[in-house]
Amino acid sequence: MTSPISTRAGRLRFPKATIAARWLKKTMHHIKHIEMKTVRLGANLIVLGLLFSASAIAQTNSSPKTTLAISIRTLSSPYQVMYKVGAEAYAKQIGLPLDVLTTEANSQKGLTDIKSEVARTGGNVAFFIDPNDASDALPIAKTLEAAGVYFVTWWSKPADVKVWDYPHWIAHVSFDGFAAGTYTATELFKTFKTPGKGKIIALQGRLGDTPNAERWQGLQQVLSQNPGIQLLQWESAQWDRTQAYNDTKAMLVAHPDIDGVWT
Amino acid sequence: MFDAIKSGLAAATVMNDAKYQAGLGLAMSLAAKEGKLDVASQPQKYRQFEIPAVNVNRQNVDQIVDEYITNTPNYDFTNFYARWSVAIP
Repeated sequence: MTSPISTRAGRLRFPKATIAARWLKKTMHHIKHIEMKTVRLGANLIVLGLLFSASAIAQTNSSPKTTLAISIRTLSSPYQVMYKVGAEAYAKQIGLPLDVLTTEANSQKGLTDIKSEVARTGGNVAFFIDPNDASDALPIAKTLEAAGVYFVTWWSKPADVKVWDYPHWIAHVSFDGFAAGTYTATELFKTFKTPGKGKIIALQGRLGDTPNAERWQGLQQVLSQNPGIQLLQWESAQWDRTQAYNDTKAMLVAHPDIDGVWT
Repeated sequence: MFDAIKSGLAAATVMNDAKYQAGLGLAMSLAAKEGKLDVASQPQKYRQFEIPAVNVNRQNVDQIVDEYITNTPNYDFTNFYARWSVAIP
């Protein structure tokens, strides 16, 4: 407020008394102006103060939004992409932020990312986790239990690790792999030229995964009920499409006369 | 796989509903965090359990694709155990 006055005063060309009188008048005017501005500024500060107070009250009354987080293997698999689509739909429905973590089939990366997410959110996070491997479930459980973060796991965990030993591990859920293995084998064998008689090759997922083991058991049961079916070769493709394609091609070269592929 | 079933190249598959999986997992975790799901009081059969997959063959493949893949069902997550089928020991 003072610089315009000195700038204008510097351009005046009047006798000293007149200058002094005018200076006094202008100064008084500016003082009044400053006072008014001060009053306005004070009013504005009061308004701002009220706004900050209201904001602070709002912050106190409603805690920050919980972050939803999913930890999955990859976004290059159509199935895993559906995790993301489903999580996004749920997050949108309830109006909460969502973070998608991918292990890229690296168990250590999966655990590190989960720890980082807990740190980033200050523990204000709710997790859905599809562990990269069954053995990952235990270190994940210990980490989230220590952090007091609730979580649900899907698909894979060691059989001797029990959810009820960890208060924040709400549930471990899976699909009925045995039923899936028996269903697909039964349907496949029906389509053969002579139903229940033929040669097959098989493609497994990750050997450490519980669902893979259950599906394999399902296939074995149907094979035991259909002695006319011969399993010539099988490979583990680690749930990876490219590897599955390459493994199947190689098996077809070795066994060109098969009737079907079970996977 | 669905296209292969439609064309007759593949016989059948199972459809694991990943959209439901993600939604259910997050809904349960959030409910527990907000105190709406008392984890400790849940019986063990609700702590480790399986749900059924959807069997897909040439007869129902078009319906399954439309319902679960092209569209996203309007899931009800108020009952976390609606699809419970068997406990995992």
